[in-house]
Amino acid sequence: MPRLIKRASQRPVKANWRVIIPLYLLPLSLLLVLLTLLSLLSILPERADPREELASAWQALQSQVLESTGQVANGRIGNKPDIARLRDFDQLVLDATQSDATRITKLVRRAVFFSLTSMFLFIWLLYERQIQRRQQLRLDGGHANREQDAILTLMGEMAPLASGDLRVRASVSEAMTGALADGFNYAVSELRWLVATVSDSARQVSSSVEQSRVTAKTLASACNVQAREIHRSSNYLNAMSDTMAQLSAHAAESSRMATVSFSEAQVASVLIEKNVEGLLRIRDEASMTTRLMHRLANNAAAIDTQVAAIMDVAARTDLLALNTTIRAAADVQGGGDLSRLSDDVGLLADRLGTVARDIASLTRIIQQDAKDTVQAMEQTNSELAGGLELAEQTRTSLASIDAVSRELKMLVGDMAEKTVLQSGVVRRLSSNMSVINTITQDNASGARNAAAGLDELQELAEELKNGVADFRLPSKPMAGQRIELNADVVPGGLQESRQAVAHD
Amino acid sequence: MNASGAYVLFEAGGEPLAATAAAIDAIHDELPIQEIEGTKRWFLGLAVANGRLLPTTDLGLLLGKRASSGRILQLHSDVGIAGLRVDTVYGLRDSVTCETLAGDGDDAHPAISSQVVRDEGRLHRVLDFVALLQSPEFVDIALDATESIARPICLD
Repeated sequence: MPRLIKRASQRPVKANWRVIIPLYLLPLSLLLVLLTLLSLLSILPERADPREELASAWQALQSQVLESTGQVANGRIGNKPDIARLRDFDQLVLDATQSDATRITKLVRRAVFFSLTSMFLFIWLLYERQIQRRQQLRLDGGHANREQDAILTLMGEMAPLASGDLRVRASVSEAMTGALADGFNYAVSELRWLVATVSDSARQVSSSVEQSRVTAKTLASACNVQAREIHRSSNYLNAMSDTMAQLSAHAAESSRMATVSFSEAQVASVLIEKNVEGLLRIRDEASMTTRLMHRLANNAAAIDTQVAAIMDVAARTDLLALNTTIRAAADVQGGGDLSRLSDDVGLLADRLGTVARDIASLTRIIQQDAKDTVQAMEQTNSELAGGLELAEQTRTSLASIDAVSRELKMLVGDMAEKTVLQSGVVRRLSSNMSVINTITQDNASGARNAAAGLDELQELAEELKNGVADFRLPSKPMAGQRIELNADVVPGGLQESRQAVAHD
Repeated sequence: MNASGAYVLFEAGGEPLAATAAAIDAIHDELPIQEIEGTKRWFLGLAVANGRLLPTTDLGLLLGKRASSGRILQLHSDVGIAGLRVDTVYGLRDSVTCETLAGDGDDAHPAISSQVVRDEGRLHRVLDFVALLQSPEFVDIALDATESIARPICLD
């Protein structure tokens, strides 16, 4: 537009003194009229006070008259100062009236003069302008054809714009359409920049929306996964809460069992003491029994020795009887009594031998039993010693169990209390997880809604791109064209481009 | 022929035997025996019984059985001077009736007859001490050259 004004101001104007004279004098005359009127107006505010002065003088005069009237009524004749005051009032009214009239008359005459002069100059100026217009009409008749050609050319160059071709560029010439072509080019450039900006913005919006939609869908999916995991964690926490409750119950039961174990350990300790005492008595008795069995074995051995001697005697007696019998049998005559005697002796020897063998057998049995008993008692003593040692170890272990049971009772009690507290914490945590789950589900729903909104925004961006798709832009920036935005321009570049255009 | 009389029942080398009581002079429980070098195994040596030397023979080994380890039967002097070690002497049985063992075809010693004495379920074959002492085998106590090497040396 500044270029258009510049072109308009460059038109040639022919100098004409008949126009210049009234053209310069007419403002001067009007200025003088204006000054005169201002002077006239300046007088009026100065004379605004005389009316008040006159009113106050009139009031004073009235009071003087009333006062004089009162004095006359009272029999006193009026004095001279009152009359002088009345004369001063008349003079004051006369002076004020004559001075203002003179000054106003002068100014009015001057204003009329300058007004008549201005009217004359104005009429002169109109006359000269009329003459110039007629001369100009005569001169413009030759340029009409060229202007028409220029207009047709301009219209032909502007025609592709109707089909959305922004590659058009009007030829700028010295003709009348030059300014229009320049303005058209400027407007097309702005439109080209606008379309390119819209297309690029739509493409960037589409890309951003696509990324945002993918992000929103990913976020929605992640929210779903998170909600599922939170739900699962909530279930785990519920299960943990139940387990903690069971653990608390078990801890309480363990505490009770620890108490029972403690009391049982004490009872067992007492029983072990009694058992040890019994084992000691058994050990003493076993020792005594062992000594008795040793003595019994020794006695049996002595009996066996004696029995062996008896058996030897019996064997010798038997042999003697047998030989006697044989001799008696050989000596048939007179040997009958001896034979019977030897038979009786043999029978006695046999009987004695049999009894001796039986005693020997019994003593061997007794010896064997005594030996077995001694071995058993020694084994018993050994086992008693082991039993005493075990009892001592058991007593020590019971003492340890006693101490451990006390500590276990305290620990289990503490564990039960803490388990109850933890169970409450887990329940609160589970409740919080439920709240978080609800929030996450809301977030997932919001992400889905955002994705749907981004879909709509994507559609709008597509519609915007389709809307400017009919416009055809030049493949390369045209000469004198403003800076075009492209896909590589960063978002901050738009402001820079606008600043560059504004600077241009 | 079934003979009757008093018999001494004994066992030698695991073989139940019987002998007439008249052939036996005494029965000894244990006798110290002095071994004689160069004699056969069944000849135990010389013992002293009642102040007399008594050549003692292991009856079990002599009969071809195992060695005996018991009392010594001192034979009557009418039969011969000899002592026989047996395992066990069961005793004297009076008025015993001997039975003849059927089938006298075994390879027993010639001094062992076919007659037996039945006692408590055992059959004791009757041994003839006279025939035994008169047998060439009983007299031949000298050790052969080949047998002397194999004979163990008894130290007791």
